[in-house]
Amino acid sequence: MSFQVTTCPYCSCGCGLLLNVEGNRLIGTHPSRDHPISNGSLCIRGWNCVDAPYDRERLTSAMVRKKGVLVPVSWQEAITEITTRLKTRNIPERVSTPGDEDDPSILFAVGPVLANEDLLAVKRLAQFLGAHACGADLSGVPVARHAIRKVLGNGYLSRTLDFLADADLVWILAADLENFPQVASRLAQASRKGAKFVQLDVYTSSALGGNTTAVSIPPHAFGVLPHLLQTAALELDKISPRVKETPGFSTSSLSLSSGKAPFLPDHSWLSDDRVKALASALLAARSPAVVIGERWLSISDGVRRTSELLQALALLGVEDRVVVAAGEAGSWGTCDVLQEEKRDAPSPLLELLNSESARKVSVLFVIGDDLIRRFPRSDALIEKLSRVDTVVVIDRFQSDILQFAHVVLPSCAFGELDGTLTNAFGTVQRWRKAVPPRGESCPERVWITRIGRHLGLENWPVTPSQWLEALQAEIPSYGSAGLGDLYAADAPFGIPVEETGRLSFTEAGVPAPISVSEGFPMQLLFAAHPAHWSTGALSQREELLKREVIDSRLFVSPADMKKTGLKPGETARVVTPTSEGFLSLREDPRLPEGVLIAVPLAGSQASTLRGFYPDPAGQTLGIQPVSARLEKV
Amino acid sequence: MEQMTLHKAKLSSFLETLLDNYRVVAPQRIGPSDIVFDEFASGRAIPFDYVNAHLPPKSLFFPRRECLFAIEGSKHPKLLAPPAEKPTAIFGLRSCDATALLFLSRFFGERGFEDEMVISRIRNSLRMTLSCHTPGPDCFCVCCDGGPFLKTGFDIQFTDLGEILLAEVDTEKGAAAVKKASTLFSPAAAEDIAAKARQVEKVDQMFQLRSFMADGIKRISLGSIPLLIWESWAGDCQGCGGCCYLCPTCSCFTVQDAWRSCDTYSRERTWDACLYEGFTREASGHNPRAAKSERLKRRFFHKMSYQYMEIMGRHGCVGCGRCVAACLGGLDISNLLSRIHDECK
Repeated sequence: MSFQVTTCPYCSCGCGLLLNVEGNRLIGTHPSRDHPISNGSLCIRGWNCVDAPYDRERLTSAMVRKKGVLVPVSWQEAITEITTRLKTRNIPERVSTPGDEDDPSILFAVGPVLANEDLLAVKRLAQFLGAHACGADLSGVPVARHAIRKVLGNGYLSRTLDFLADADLVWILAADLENFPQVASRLAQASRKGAKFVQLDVYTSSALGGNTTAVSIPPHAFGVLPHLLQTAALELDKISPRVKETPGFSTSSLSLSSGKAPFLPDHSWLSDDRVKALASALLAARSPAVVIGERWLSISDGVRRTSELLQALALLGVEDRVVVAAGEAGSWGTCDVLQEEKRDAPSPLLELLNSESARKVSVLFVIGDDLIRRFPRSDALIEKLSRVDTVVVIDRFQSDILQFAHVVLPSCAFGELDGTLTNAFGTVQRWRKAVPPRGESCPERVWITRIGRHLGLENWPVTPSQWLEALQAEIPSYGSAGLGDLYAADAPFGIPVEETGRLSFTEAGVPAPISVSEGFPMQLLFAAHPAHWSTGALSQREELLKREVIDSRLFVSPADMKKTGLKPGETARVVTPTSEGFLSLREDPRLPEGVLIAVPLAGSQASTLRGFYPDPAGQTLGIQPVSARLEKV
Repeated sequence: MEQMTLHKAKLSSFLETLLDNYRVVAPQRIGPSDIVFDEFASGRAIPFDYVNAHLPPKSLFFPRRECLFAIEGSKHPKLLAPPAEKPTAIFGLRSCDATALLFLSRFFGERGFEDEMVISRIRNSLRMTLSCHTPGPDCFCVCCDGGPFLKTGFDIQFTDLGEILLAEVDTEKGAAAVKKASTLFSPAAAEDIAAKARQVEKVDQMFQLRSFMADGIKRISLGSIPLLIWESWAGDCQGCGGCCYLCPTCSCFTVQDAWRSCDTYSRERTWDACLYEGFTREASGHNPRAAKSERLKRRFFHKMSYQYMEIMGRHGCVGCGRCVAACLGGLDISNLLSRIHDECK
């Protein structure tokens, strides 16, 4: 029996926990009382994270597709297969001048679950091959990171969560708090102390108690909100000298002020007086706070809209009191290591998701992610994957992406590897190895190193601390943070990355009004099914869970139920201008009239009612509302 | 009850004498507040200034995950029993946790059936409590008949008197352990016993948290808390299950078959939580307690109702305060009893 301090592998909060090991097996876990985020508590994912290594779908040996079937092979054979396939692409010629030639037909797509060191290995190999490497999470943290860098000049917003518990007024923007229980917990504490909440969302929730004011934003109008807030802030004229002295600050550049506003779409859902009252209350609050959720970040043209929102919050003096409730354990590290915000062009992964894109991907490495599950409604992705010459999957578990894989390499699960992770508050923390890897599993960096060596790329770090040193050399802010102490005997839980930046303002752009198609008066939205984060999968009831996921549902407001004469449990036809599908109805009193939410689509419905698709602006996946109508079958 | 003293510097020597017959477990400091019960090894420092281990010592007797049996081979399968275990001697057990072990002992062994694996671990254990001299901010054992000092439910009760520990021996097992190391112990002086009495009085005044037990028990037992109120409270529950996992008296478990290697399967028992949506979900998909409010209500009925007191001999809270720290929604037992007191008419 032994205990090992480590970091939770799930969301980007990065709770500290203690692993309980018996022999070579993880027996259980419990929260650290000393850790500043977990503070003695964990959510259901953290409490059950030790089950993952023993999942029935765990990959434990290398596999190569032979005669159409994936068969177990030695890892040496699998590496040879990969490098042989790469060498047919004239890699040897380019080895002499690695990185000089850009080869966009090789793509590394990495999931938000990798240690920083594994990401660094991916980056090195991608650079060597002249390939592109990008994160598979397109709509959450990368959007936030782009916007934060753009407006604040540094990488992170708030460096702690605790101020939420002491807040007296909190704005919550399109956040599903059940996915971030530590955020929800701090807000519950604030609620018990009498805090007031303003929920700005497409639907309202009573979860925060009676002190909640709801602002129901029409699904197509999220992008309007920052402009309303900026205008209100400028008209209230209580902008702090700190903000006014910001280089580049100019009321005239914020084009919606002083009567210079061009056309602003209808905003009868939030009158000018009301937005001013909300802004005044935020300015007057003793301890204000703002939570931005993943659904906000997923709106169309997310980077631009989030930048404008942060700009508005800066005008209201709260830009350093914002928490982004988004991302998984490796999301922020992925942005740091792959430096995604420096990429000018849209993510190359969008090319795979966009049926109109002509770019051909010949070699695809999918590392720590199941693209099929992540983008379940993308026919284009499936169609393109079937045409990729070589798909290499490095992952912990079997997943749908394996049907396209030519080579599969098993990677280490949580508890089986050392490494570092960066949480949403800019603190780099340790993952500690507590048990040996199962079967032939290795950390991703080991597989990448083996591939690199086979191709002739040498000088790879070996030990975890060597990898950390390489990471420090690669990312300036990590180098200055002195992360080496993370491997000391009395290592702290984490070391904050110190980044300084300064505010900057950009000219506002007005979102184009969305036209509503005639005959389709409703707005159809799509939501991710939260079930895989709830009890089913984690308490070993995954078979039941899978059955549930297949059951697609449509949530409808009571008013629309009444209007259409439909009843919960019935199946209704949902018609959009381009498609139609049949969904089982659920009533949701939180929804305003005219808004439908579908979760999640599967099977034949996947090819019809599409809501997730590449954003025309090319920055992110947009969860766009689709005009729709509801019909009785 | 025999009363002896043991110099703190000799504690390690005493625990070493137990190693022949027991797996000896003692508190270990991982961080300022992170304490765990871990196997004692000669020379390891044992802290005395801790509130309690966050993971309750029930995990030593009713492990988070354990193999009930395994089957090896497919053509001629062999049944593999779990390996024999040494009994556990635990030092540093807090009074609340010792009380909780009595509760678990009743649950697993005194209700018409015996769960052989758990009950034998509890019965064969040597329980050496360390009474609390400084209750933590979340502790309320004083309201729950769970401590901070015990009259029974231990083999040896130690009280920290500074340089020395007062050892009160309550069982033959405890007496045998002391006898084996008799050269390390001295008879307690009247002054030592008086010092303990003063400490009992002092500690009682130090609790910061009080709990409205009587009101809560009455209302929960009578079912007089409207469902609407349960529903409003359930909105705060994040469904993490932490209260159940950390509760030293909670005993929910599930059993599943796990694949170990190519031809070995094991039947394993793991902790489960009555607040999990899947806990009562039946194979048909029907769930008698599908709503969180119903699960929350059921949990507190189990913990606090007269009906369960009749079965278990006491209510299901020993006031250890772990749920106070663990609950993400402020629905720990102490807080919920306060809510009952404040919000129910």
